Amino acid sequence: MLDSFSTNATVAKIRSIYGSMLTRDDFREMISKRNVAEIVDFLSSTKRFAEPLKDIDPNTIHRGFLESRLMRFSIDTYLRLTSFQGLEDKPFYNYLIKKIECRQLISLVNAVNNGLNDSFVTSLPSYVFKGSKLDLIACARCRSIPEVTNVLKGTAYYKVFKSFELDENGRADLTDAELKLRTKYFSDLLASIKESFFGSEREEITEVVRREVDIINMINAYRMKAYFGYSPEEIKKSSLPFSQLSKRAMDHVYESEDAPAMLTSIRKTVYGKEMTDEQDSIESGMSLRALRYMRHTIARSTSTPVVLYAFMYICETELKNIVRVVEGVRYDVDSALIEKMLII
Amino acid sequence: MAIVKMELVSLTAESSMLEAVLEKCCESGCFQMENAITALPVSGKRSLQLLNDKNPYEVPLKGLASIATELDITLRETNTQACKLETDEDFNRFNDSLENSLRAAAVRKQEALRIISERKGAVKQIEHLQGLNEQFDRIFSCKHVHVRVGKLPLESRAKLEYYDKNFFFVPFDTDRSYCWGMYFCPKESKDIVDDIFTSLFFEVIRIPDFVTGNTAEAFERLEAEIKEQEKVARDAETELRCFADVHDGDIQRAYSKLVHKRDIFNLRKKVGVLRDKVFIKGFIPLKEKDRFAKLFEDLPGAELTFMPPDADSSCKPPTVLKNSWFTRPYSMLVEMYGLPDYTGYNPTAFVAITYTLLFGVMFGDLGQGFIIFLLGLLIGTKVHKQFGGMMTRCGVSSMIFGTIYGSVFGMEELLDPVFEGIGIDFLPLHPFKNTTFILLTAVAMGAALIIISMILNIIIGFKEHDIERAVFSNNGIAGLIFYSSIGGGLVATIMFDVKVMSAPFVLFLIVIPAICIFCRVPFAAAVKYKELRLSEDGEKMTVGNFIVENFFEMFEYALSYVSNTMSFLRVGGFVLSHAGMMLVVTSLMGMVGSGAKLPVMIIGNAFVMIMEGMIVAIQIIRLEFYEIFSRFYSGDGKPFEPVKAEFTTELD
Repeated sequence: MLDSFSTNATVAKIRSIYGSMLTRDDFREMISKRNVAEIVDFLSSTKRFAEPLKDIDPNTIHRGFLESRLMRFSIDTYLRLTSFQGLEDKPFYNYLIKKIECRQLISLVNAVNNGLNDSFVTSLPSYVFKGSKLDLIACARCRSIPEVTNVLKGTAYYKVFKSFELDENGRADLTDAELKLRTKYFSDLLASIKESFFGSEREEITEVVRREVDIINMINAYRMKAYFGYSPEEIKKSSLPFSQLSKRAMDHVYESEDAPAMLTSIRKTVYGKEMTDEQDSIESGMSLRALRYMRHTIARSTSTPVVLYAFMYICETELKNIVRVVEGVRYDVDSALIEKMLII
Repeated sequence: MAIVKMELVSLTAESSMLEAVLEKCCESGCFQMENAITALPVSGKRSLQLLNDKNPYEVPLKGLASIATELDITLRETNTQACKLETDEDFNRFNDSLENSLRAAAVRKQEALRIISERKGAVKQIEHLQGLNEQFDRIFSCKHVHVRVGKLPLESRAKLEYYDKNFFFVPFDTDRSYCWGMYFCPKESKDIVDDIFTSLFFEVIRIPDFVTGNTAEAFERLEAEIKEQEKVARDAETELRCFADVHDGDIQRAYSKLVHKRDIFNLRKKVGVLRDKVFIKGFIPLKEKDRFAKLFEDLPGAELTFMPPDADSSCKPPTVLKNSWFTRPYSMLVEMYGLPDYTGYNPTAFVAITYTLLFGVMFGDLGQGFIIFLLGLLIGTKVHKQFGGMMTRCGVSSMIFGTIYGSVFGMEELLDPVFEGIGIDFLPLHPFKNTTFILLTAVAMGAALIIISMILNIIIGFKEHDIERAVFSNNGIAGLIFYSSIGGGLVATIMFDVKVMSAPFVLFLIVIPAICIFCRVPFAAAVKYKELRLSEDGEKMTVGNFIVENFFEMFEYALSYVSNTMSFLRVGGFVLSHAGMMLVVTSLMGMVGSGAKLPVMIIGNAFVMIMEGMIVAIQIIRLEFYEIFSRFYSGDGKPFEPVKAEFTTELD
């Protein structure tokens, strides 16, 4: 308990940054801009992004670089917050780097399978080099999954890569690889929570993580059902083995007869509250629900890991929204449509 | 203590006289202009329309302001009598003549500044290429080698090692975000390598043609050019300054006149026009009627018609508070909350009395009150008249209550011999010896103020023929009986042991008023429309909804009676807190040597006066606005803003 109180300053700091995040009006203003340069100019005039964009020339910046810059700022904010009261020593607080590693490895498997190593390197966010111990450049040079596995020897991912099902050309099944890597990430995360926290704080952060997993599982289940016609058994097999909802409730969703029935089942759960008929995809409603839950968590919780986790989730959503606006304005998409795509 | 009577003025004149009429309106300083028409004209009919002309003075005004900026002239308000310019064309011609005379020097200066800025930009870019000792033209004229100069994000630099293509990158300089350098590759691999660098967000820098030689030589040449152009700019500047000195007076006069004309023209937006006649309407204070009429006597064709302020239902008369010398400073607080309606009640006197009284009670100290009084006199004359006025009145009140408490700069026993000498034994009223009395008196004072507020609400309600407000509301007769009966009953029973809470008392003075408040809407509708309605605006409401809604409202009213009364406990609380803080100061004085006593006393008193004085002042505002105003006052009046042409240097 004393430990929790001692990090109250971090919570206060997070809430203060949270208060400076972009609002709906800010996004509307961005949408009304005529080009990317004007958006960058606007962003650099906001309190939130003035610092990362201060020496950027809005007229020459590439939108990919902008995205990378803002993502890096997000990671830097995270690192600053965790080092503010020396939290980085606890295993849990390394979760963001592991999350990024996991994403990059999934992307690497896809790149190696399809010979897209160059584009993998291009899209590789440079902030990974800062926090991760993986040699992703060496991985990118590999032409097959066994080669990658060899490079990863001595890291936590070696065993996972070793367990991939490979075809005769050394290619891995991407769905299987993604599931295994994500399972590894979430199980490590939950284990680190168990190790780092106690009592109600542990319960609270576990619930937040499990709820995030539930949303991922439901979106995937719906996609598998609607676009690929997977059977309930196949869906269950492809889902992450963690859940905040009861097994019965999740099974009820997985065992839906068809996509509309699954949508109805999801709507009946706590995650389906924000889903409306106007939304284009299941992601919009579910992401909105997740966002609101995280916002609520920031407002109500006093636990540092919980607030930090929720805050980083919101930062990620904010960044996704910025990217959507930038892409929308770049490709001259109708303003109303861009706004509809935002998760606010 | 009321609201200044207004008169509605309707003014008709020939269109050609419009400018002169508007001038007179501004000159009067007491005319609040209203839109001549409020409803859209009926289609197909030729009717009164608002003048919506584009202001012709805007363009010359902006032009003149830009000339003044170019000449570095600080614009100030000037007498315009000597200015012969009248129409917008005159002003445009004046601007053109100025521009023509200064064009040559201005163009020279701008061109020099442009070159300086361009060269400085080039210097900034080349600064990052300091490590390059080769001629720029030699590098770029290579036959088989493709070269690009630019900046690579630091994030992308780590990725370069991945590529084993035939190129190499030469870094020159690194800042917080970028690595500056150039890359070389064979011309035949140019496309691939360019793509790679583009994907790494490499930003190419175009070296301008005027940059020749190697970096050092280019630097030298650019610096020399910058110096040369700076001299050109300086010479042009001197020429412009001489020009400004000669024409300063003319420009100042023309600008002031233009601002005035622009503002007068802007008033046309509210003027109605029909054929060759213009129509203006607005309000003036009744006492200014004769002076206003006299102003227009020498304007042929201008006709004034005076009417009562409510003659035109489309415009609401503005409110000017009429206050006595004692209450005038407190109008600041009333204006802060919102002015009363023209036909409403001016609460300034009530605020003045209660504010002064409460301040004295909460901050009673003869010595400190005297200091506040003196400060009030000083602030009133030098800084803010109204604020100073409030301070003097509060200071006097503080002195009176300080005498009652026997407190002089925190010394609570100083006045004891005086009272003994006069033979008054119930004074001074030392706060710490009479804690219960002070707290109960504070609550009683609060209850009295709430009852007075309710009585005011009842009077206003009857004046406005609002039966619900006057009779049935929680602040009407029903609320007053309910609140007074419960309060009086409890006091009589608990404090004086008089059993007044008999069944008829409860039934007639508590239950029936409560029912009236609960059913205020249907009861008021029964009186007003002779029919029973559950909602005032005819909105459909079921009995169930009505009961639920009013149950919660009743609950809120009951809670507000208790909380508003208890809120006045703070008055007693501050009496004790003031005495407590001064006790700390006197204790500190006792702890230090005799030489330090006076400084401790001065600093301690100053601290208490500033901190507690401010808190008390704010707390009373809170009590006035929340506990008192909320019962009878709605600040929805319109401020009185007479038309005027004001000098400004800020343009849209």
